[in-house]
Amino acid sequence: MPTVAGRRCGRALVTQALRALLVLVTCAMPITAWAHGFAERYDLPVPLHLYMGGAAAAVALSFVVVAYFVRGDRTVRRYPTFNVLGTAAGRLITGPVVRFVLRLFALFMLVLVVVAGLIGDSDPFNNIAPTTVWVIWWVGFAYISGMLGDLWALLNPWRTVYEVTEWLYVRFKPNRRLGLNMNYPRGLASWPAVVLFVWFIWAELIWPNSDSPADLSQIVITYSLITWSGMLVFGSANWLRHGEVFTILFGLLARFAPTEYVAERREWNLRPWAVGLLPDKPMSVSLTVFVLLMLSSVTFDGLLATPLWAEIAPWLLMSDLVRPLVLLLQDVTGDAIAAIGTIALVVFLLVFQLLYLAFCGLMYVVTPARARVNLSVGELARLFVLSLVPIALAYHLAHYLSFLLIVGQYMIPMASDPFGFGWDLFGTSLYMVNIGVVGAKFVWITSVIAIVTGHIVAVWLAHVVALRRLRDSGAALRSQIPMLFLMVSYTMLSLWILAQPVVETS
Amino acid sequence: MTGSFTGTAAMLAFAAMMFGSSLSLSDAQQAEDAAVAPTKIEVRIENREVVGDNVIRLTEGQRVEMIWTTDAAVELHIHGYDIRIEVSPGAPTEISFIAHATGRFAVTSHGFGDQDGHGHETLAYIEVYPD
Repeated sequence: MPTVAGRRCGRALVTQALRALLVLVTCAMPITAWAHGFAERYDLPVPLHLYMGGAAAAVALSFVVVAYFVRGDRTVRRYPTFNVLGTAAGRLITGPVVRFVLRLFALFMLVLVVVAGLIGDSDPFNNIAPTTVWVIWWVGFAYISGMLGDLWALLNPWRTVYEVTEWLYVRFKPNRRLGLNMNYPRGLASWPAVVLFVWFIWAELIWPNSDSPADLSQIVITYSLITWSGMLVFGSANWLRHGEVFTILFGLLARFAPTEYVAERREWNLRPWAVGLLPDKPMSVSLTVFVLLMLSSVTFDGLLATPLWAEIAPWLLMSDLVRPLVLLLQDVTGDAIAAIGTIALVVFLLVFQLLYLAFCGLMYVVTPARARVNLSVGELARLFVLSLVPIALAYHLAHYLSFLLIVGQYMIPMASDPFGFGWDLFGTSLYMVNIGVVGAKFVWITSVIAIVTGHIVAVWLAHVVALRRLRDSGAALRSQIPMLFLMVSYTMLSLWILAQPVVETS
Repeated sequence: MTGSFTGTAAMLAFAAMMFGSSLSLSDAQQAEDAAVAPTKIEVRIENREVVGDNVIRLTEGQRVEMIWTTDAAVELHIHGYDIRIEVSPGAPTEISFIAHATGRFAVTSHGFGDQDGHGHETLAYIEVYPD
């Protein structure tokens, strides 16, 4: 790995502060930096004909959706639901015993990750922590959230720990409440989650030590402390809503899923896919930014493994404009590649936000003021942002399908020997990962179908939102022309990335 | 709304079908190809780089004999298939395997010559395409 000679003196203090902030441990190990946290993908590029076919289908089917809405008022306001808790089987699978076991298991996994990181082997393939965090939890839970529902709301081990502590506290100190229970400042909105999310994205995509069990354990501990502090200050419900990144993140993805939990009526309903992404009112600015961060980080993850980035990175490293910044950053980020990645990440995240805003500006311009019902550009942006989620979710599913199925298998040997101590608890410690578990053809076709489907759902959602909120249906359809253009571009970008051979930039 | 639901259901059904067929095909293909003479592929490393195209394309189930030659001692690692070999100058090293799994696998070098740990660098990729 090329390391640009660093000039440490003078900036020591700043560097140290940043180091503490990013929890970069000083015993940094020179491990190869993989994109997306840990391990590698063995995907073949999607062949040209499938790439083109997918692109053509996305465009053609967009017009089918448009035609469907042109034919009349299709502003579905209500959708059919089926309460699973109304059936005996439904009550059984959601009963207190099942919930208890699931929550206990999630808590156990959190403790396992931390302990494995602290006492286990330093080889990421001989320690259960990296696979659990990056493959099973991060990739796998996004699948579960998007396909099944908001399971994280139930499982969240940070919430479990806090609730148990709260319960114990009240038992021993009756008439008192745990924590400060301060009022959550309205102006703060979900900005704490936005900040923590950027940190997480950086750790996942750029941080050179993301696959080091010890370092991983440290950031999990840090994040846990932040979460519990937030809960102590503002109460758990407030912090979960505004500060806990993964409650928000998995919650957003679960809006796509065909289930919903209605707390007031104690219903767990089956519902049509994606209707959770139809907002009743504009999202808050902070949540809008959060959604856009989610969309752009998923795409950036893909871009990092393309030959394009492999060519741009060294060129940027040599350019007079970026090089001083790299020299400044590399002490903090660990190495020059991470520094250049950090710069690219920040630029990409910002450009994505601005691009989206620009398209909302176009939407504003093409929609007559009368039909717009006084909605500003910002309000349009906050209203339509959720409709992009299916495209990101589809890309995530496509991008990680074989990764999850192949690298996920490491859990089998590691379950028997989680710390790399040579144990064999379940007799599976010698299991060899089968790299042939999914064929390339299956992955290609599933990926392209997922992306085209995600695109169609996105176009459909945006049209429904437009027809609901804008006054005349002709204007509503016209407002969707810029949005359609944005969505087609975004989908094309997803397909293009999948058609690129995976390369590692080092 | 129901459109997106049936669409997804159809997608899953189709995906499951493709999955099933690809599994059974590859098994049959492997047995059949085992009898066929292996394809010989020569790869030369000079100045820490592969001479010519650094992407080696194979077909699923193909029997391959790869002969590696190098101008500096190197330890090679074929990812995924997890094959590790040491190659020295003047001593071509042969590996044979059946390309049983599709995918794109990096071939990395661990420490050229001096063994002072240059980290690892990607030398080539082996791409195994479905039939």
